[in-house]
Amino acid sequence: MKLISVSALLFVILLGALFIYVAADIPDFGDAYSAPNRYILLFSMDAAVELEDDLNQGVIPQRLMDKLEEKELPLPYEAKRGAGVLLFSLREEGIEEVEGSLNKGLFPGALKTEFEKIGVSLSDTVRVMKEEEDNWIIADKEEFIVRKEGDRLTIYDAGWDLMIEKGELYYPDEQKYYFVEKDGDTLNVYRYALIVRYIEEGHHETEVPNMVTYILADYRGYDTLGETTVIFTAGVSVILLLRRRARRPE
Amino acid sequence: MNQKRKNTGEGDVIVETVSRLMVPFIQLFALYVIIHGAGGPGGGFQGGVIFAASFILLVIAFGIVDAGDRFPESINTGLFSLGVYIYAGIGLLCILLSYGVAQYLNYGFLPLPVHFEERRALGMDIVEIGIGITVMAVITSIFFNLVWKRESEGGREEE
Amino acid sequence: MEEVLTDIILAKYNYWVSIVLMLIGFYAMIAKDNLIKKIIGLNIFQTAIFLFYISLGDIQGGTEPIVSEEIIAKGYVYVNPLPHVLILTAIVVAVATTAVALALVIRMYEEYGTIEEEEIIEKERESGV
Repeated sequence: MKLISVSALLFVILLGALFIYVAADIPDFGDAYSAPNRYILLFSMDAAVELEDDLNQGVIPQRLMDKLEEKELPLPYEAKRGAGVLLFSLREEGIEEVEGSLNKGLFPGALKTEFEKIGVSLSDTVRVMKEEEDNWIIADKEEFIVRKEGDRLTIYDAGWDLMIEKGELYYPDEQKYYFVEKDGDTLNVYRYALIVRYIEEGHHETEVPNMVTYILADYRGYDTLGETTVIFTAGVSVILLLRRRARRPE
Repeated sequence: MNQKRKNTGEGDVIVETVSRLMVPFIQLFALYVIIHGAGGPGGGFQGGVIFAASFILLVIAFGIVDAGDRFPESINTGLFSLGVYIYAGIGLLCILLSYGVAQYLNYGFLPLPVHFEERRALGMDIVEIGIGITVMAVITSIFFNLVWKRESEGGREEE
Repeated sequence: MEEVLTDIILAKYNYWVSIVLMLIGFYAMIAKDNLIKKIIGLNIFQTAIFLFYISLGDIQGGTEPIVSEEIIAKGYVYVNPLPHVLILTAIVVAVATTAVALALVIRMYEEYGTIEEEEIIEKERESGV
């Protein structure tokens, strides 16, 4: 065999070994919690009870503001008790018995299988608390909110949304920017990925149903202009290369 | 078209007639994909390629010499730049008409008689038509250049 | 041993397929002599990259990213649409690259009369470059 094919084979084997070494860190296929789809972790801090009380009333505690300022991140002005991003929802079969067990304070088995499907495993010391009518909280190490909307049950991550002001960072309205979640003894502060704004508010701002089209032609319209220039350049260069052949037989 | 054919077989009549019947339907489908890019899958790039595929069908059925005379090179090259002009021109129009905040490609400031959000949807449609024109012209021109063959063996060179 | 099979191979099977295609395309680009086979290797490599990038944005049980009231009422979750947008641009770049490469191969054939890389190098060496 020639020298170049042997050396190419060795190089390919080396790259294959490198990929296998890297492959352990990639999130699973279809993982609901991977960072580009939902939140990006910024930092964690120790939880104290007064922090939670401040956040429940809508005021941002001073320790959180100091920490955000020292990392030079934009400062929020209000906190809302929010639900994170939608995890899953139950519809049709067996909604009434699930609701019945939640009302009694027991954790239904059907929810446990749904949680396992998205990769969250709950321990046995899980508690169910009823907050208001049609609103329950499932508390384990992490907290989840269960709401009844219409005739389906939807499950969200529980936490607080911190909003930033209108006009800051070029957002036209006030916008939810940080997501604070309680995890055991620590408070995790996440930042929402940009895609959450495109999914939730894109249909109100542009009356177009197709998400890919309005991201391509409206929010990222400048990139599509460059793209059209690329294909225009390809057409011009093919004409320049192949012009010296006989064009018309006359 | 009938004088220059070299090989006369029985199958040629079927191929020519069927492809001549199919071309309008392919072009109608391409226009459907471009305009309905806002309500379902589709858009400018996809529709432009389907439109060019109808011209490639004509070339396959009739031969490059006969079909190539129908698409003169000057009009094709003019269509390249028309699509890019439409796209960049809409952006420039938005800068001129947004007094105060000059924003490029914010379709809300176009002079259309509907409210702000719906102007963005209509601006997107105009831009997709521009993209479709450019992609159609480029792919047709690339295919014709790659397939063209010399008439005589000696190979004359044009200036 | 079973943990290796389910955790690493079966849970991320699409990434493995994409890596294998990437290595095949890479080998074809470097080690083959025929110029057309090099262009085919380039296309295989680009297809593997698209597959890898789009499958980063998948959510289990998600549906297509078109907003409609009935789908929201049934409670489905949307798949991340941002990789789809970026790959649409990348596909057009791949088409442009392949077109220019094929035009270059046609010109080289007319100049040298062959498309094997070894014979082209021989002819260049003979003419004293």
